[in-house]
Amino acid sequence: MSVSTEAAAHGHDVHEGHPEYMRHQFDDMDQQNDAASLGMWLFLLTEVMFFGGFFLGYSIYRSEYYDSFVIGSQNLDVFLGGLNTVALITSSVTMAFAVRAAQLGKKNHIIAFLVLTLVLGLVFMVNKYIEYSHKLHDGLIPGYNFLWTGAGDGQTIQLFYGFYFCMTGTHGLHVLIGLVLIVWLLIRVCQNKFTTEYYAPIENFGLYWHFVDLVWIFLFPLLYLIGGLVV
Amino acid sequence: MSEHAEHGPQAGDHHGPHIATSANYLTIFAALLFLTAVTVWVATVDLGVLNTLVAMAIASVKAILVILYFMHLKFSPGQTKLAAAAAIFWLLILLIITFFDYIGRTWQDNPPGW
Repeated sequence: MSVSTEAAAHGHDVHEGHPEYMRHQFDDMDQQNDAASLGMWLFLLTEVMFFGGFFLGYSIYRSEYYDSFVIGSQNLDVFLGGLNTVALITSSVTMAFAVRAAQLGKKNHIIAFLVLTLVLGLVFMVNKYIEYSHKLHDGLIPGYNFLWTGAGDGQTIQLFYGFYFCMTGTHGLHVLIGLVLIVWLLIRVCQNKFTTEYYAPIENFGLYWHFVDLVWIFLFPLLYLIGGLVV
Repeated sequence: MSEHAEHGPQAGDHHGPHIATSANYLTIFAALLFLTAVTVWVATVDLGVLNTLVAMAIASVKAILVILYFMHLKFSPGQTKLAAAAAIFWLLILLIITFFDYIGRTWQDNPPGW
């Protein structure tokens, strides 16, 4: 160890021969970035299991009460759902471009693409708010004001709405957390915290954001498009 | 820390990040939008049981495009690919084994008085 006694007195705040953002335990930035990326993927693995439970429950009850799920699904707004699909996919592209800008060290481009991602995420949440308020107004919130007056078995249609709100609600919460994290990233970018070597937070947030997009890619056909679309 | 300096960068040790071209991202974007349109269109056609299968197949293709290109898995090191494969593997265990349980079970009526 070539750490001087004076430096050692300051504990671990010693960055001799390597930049501040590089942790002591890594040989080089490649190794650190690979480790950070692996950690993020392992977190996403737990997220897959988390959402997997919803998809499993949904699949079982859907096979059990298919007719009710079709009625419930056809009562959802396919236009708003489709618009949200496009908004999230587009935000995934802008996020990919934000990571690319970080790799190339173009600060202004990072900011521009992160802001675009933020705006598209907000569009998604506003649409979700509109959809939820319609459902509240129509009395379709399970366990709160659910009253089914149309054809079909209200009890099992309520089950469909239970899944709809749990799955889109958990997904929406993820989008909301993502929006907060984008603001945090924007602050860090403006503080010049990132370099072409160190941009792991942007890249790993990108992985999270793409995962949220992935969940929606499956939620959209499963919730909005069951049993044929009537045009 | 000096031990690290002695190692120095080894040839072939530094792979660096994979930087995709803008054209690559835009192509994937176009494919994703096209597949979204196909999903909505195919839902208007009555294919019976196949509707669900087609919808899930399209969603899976979209997911694979996002994972490989947007999430850079195609250019990621082996351990990252393993983590991603493990996620899909465990999800399939969760879904398939539970479904076999449901299919294979005999459901009995509730006892009288329930």
